[in-house]
Amino acid sequence: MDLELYFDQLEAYAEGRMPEAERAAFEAELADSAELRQALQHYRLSRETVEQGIEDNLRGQLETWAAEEAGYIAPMEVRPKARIVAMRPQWIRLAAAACVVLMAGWFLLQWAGRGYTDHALYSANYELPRASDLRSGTAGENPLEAGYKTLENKDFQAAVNYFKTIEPENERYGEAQFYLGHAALQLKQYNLAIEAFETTIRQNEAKFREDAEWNLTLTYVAAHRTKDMAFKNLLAFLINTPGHAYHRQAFELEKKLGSFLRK
Amino acid sequence: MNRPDWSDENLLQAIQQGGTNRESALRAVYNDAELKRKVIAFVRNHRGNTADGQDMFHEGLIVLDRNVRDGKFRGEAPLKGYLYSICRFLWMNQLRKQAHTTTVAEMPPTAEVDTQTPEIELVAQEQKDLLRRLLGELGQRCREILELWKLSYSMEEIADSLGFSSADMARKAKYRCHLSLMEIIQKNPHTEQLLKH
Repeated sequence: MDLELYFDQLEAYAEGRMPEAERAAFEAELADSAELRQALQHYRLSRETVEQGIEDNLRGQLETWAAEEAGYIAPMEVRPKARIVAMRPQWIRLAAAACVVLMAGWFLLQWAGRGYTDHALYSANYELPRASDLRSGTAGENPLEAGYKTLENKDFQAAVNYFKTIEPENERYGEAQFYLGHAALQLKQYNLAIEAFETTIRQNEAKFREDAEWNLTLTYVAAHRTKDMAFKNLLAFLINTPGHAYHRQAFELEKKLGSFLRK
Repeated sequence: MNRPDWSDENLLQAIQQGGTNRESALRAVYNDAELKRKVIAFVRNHRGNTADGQDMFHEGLIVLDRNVRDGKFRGEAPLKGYLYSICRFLWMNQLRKQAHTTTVAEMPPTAEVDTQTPEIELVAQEQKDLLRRLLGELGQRCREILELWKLSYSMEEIADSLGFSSADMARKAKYRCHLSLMEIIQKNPHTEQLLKH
């Protein structure tokens, strides 16, 4: 069917904007044409598809808010001003005030800087795959099932041991390396995590590639290796790829890495 | 921004308007610490933990946003009570799914009675993944255009946001993008599977 011919009508009908008279005629046409009915179903599915994108964006936004909340710094309490009676010469009061301001500034910087350490940035951005994300296919046919269980149970050493046994010939090798990366990261075995995420990326499976790139980025942060050229290139790649699923997070990460609060 | 003057009417209106108004309204609801605590307490009292409670609060907000935009919720009940009902429903549903064989009668009882039954369309994870794959085949710019359109932005606003020279150019781009998406859907071998649900 030539969608272009019917697109405007499909849109007006599905969005409830078709005038009553035209609507009756269109419904008669729908009743007669299976192709047109299918096109209408496809139109509705297209709306659902876009809605999925909106839902995912909002989920990302909520996670960002939750991360902000987790690193929230309580505003300094505002105390009522007391009237100070001058007891000392002016220069002593000025010097004392300067000291107080400097000390307050120093403490404020320390407080604010806490949200910008490698550990804080890693924690605010990292997410262990959820149990619901792990399974695809039924338990019986999935060779990684035993590994999923170890991850679910947070038995990361067992997960590392298990996923290491999956050979490159296995069709789920890329996926196994992805979860190996997560398990190793949890155990702070950063070199192993880096190697595993890099292997996943080389496998180039659409489902894991972007996640692996982002988790590799975070592994470098967790390992305090943000000066590495490999890390800088990876972060630059994420920032310069607007369609990447973690483009926005990478942009925010770079901003925070460059913040004076880290200096 | 957490504005103290957010009435239910203002919240609904802002969510329907889309753009930064929607974001501010959702943030205001998100910032309601008492409501969040209540949801988390409910989940914790029903075999969940704090992280599950936080997840349910997020998922509830996502459903609330959709239902308001789709006109399924028009403020017939207090908005935050409605959101709480959604979160409870989602969590109980998740427990049901986890239990597989557990019947509704065996589910943990809830002391409170829903003031209304939230209208929730539950989409299976596999279906969501398929929708994401379809969307993934579309270019980033097309995705943005269609998402803004779906969030009720006017063509003028879409043109402004995405740098089109006029509303007319934005309209043409939206038309082309929507057609491309429909073609992707038409050609995908799994589309029929999605339509069956």
